[in-house]
Amino acid sequence: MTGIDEQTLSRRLHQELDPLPAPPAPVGAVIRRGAARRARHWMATASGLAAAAAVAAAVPLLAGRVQPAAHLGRDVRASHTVPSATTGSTGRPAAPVLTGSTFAAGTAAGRPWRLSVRNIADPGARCLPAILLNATDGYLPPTGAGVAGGIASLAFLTSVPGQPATGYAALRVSPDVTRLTVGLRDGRTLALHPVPVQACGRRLPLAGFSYPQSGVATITAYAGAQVLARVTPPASLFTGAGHYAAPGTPGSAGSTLRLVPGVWQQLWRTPSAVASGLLASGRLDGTQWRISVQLGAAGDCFVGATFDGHAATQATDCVPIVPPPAGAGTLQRFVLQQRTLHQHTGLTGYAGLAGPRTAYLVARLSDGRSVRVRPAQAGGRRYLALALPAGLTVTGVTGYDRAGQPIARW
Amino acid sequence: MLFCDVTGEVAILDTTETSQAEPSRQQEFGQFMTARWPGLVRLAYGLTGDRWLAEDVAQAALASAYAAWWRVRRAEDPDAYVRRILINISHRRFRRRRVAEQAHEPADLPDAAVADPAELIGERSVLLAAVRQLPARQRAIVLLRYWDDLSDAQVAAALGCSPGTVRSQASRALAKLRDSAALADRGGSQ
Repeated sequence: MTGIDEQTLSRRLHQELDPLPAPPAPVGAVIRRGAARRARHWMATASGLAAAAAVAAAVPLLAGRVQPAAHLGRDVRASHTVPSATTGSTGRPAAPVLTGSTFAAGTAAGRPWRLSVRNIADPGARCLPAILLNATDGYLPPTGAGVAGGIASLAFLTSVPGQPATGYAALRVSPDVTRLTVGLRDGRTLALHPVPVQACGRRLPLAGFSYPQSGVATITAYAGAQVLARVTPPASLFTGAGHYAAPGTPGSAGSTLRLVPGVWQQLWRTPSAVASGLLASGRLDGTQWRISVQLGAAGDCFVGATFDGHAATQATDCVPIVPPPAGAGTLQRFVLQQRTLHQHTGLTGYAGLAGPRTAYLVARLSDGRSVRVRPAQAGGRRYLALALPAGLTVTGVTGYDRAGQPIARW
Repeated sequence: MLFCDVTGEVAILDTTETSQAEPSRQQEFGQFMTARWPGLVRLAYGLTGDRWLAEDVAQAALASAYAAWWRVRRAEDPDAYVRRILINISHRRFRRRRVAEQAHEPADLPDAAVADPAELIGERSVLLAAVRQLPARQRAIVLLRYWDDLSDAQVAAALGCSPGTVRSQASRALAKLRDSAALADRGGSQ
């Protein structure tokens, strides 16, 4: 028994809580957050009405020329429409910004899916919109202004972990596109409407769909009755033979990376890296090493380079683009330097993303030591990287916030 | 259900005001928020034990209050209204966080080769750690009653309970704190 009474409890609570410093009240930020919350409420209300209208409009379409199979009707749909303006009588913002906007959703092979746009940079950093499948696997659509004449970008996710029979496609179209038809290789036809989504200050008309393993034959964009563009994706996209140019070596046929599940394949060449930066460097056992990141068409690619005074090596490990993790961060292992006849030690690299709250990590090593890892910025995202001699591994990690408080461990 | 009358974050949002009222609304809300901010952050810290999370919870609660400002300012006790939002948000975040992340035990910290500020945690927040072991409603009652120095009626208003419930829950919470091993180890009556 401690003998704590009401007075003691009150006194000790005051002793612990009263000295806690509070930063200046972020009135502006809270007002913006509250206003966005109000706008979302209105968006939800308006979207419900729009969905009802869409159902009413879809009935004649389903009875007409485009008659997908019953299960396909659930497979493919643009689930959300953005109202162009809210009702004037309430004085709501005319064009509220959508964050995390879903522009297509459905069910494929019994699994629900959705395609959405989200800023994948850290809060407060530059805005970096990505199209995400089920809030994870993402790609970076080109966001430049002034596309015209149909389809501005087209990407396919042909290899989804756990879904061997399903692929996904996402398109950015020009503002004048009113509808799209998709001819599948199994003979069926889908009808889509682009959904304008506000992302990072730009209005992106987007469309998306899922398709069966056999793939997509044609995609046609219309402005009313006029055909604006017709695309025939190469059959090789759907046969599992995909590959990417290695980061930093556009057009180099000799530098290709294996097809990574969860990484989108963009139909037209895009800049190989949207952002890049050095994450960490150092010297281990006489070998200089550095780990950098290249974020782009091939995913989140960690590039490790070593030089031991005689020979230089380079290793690249690409992973799907994902938003910053909710916890302290992620670390994945890759071979930074192979152990060879000439390089007896070998090096192991670890790299990943830091959570928004993470100020640093303490990584526990297999030999009992610990090492502190601080995030490095690249493209508005914060990454973690370290290198270890090949015999050592990271056995656990604790993440800390700016106040030095532990926020997560694994 | 967490509390006697759970509303969660404000569900019914402002539907009547026009944009012309926005500047005065912002000014009025700004004054309200500036006055309450430190207290709300400390209350959220007491509930969550995480300073960063506390600021975020306080911001979320005030943002909800701003979204329904017409309703908050017409409430009989706007402070109670905002506290109630904050408590509900903090409970949800706390619960989500506990599920998502393994609870940190200071004793499990590695023998760090680097200076580790987390070691200070155990010293600093023994009492708060014990409070956070209480069920959500009792935790809120302890903080509102014994730190915020609210009357039973005010605590009841903030939680949507009856004053009698507040008294009985406070009594149970106090009993649990008396039995707390952590407090016993540190000498609770010091």
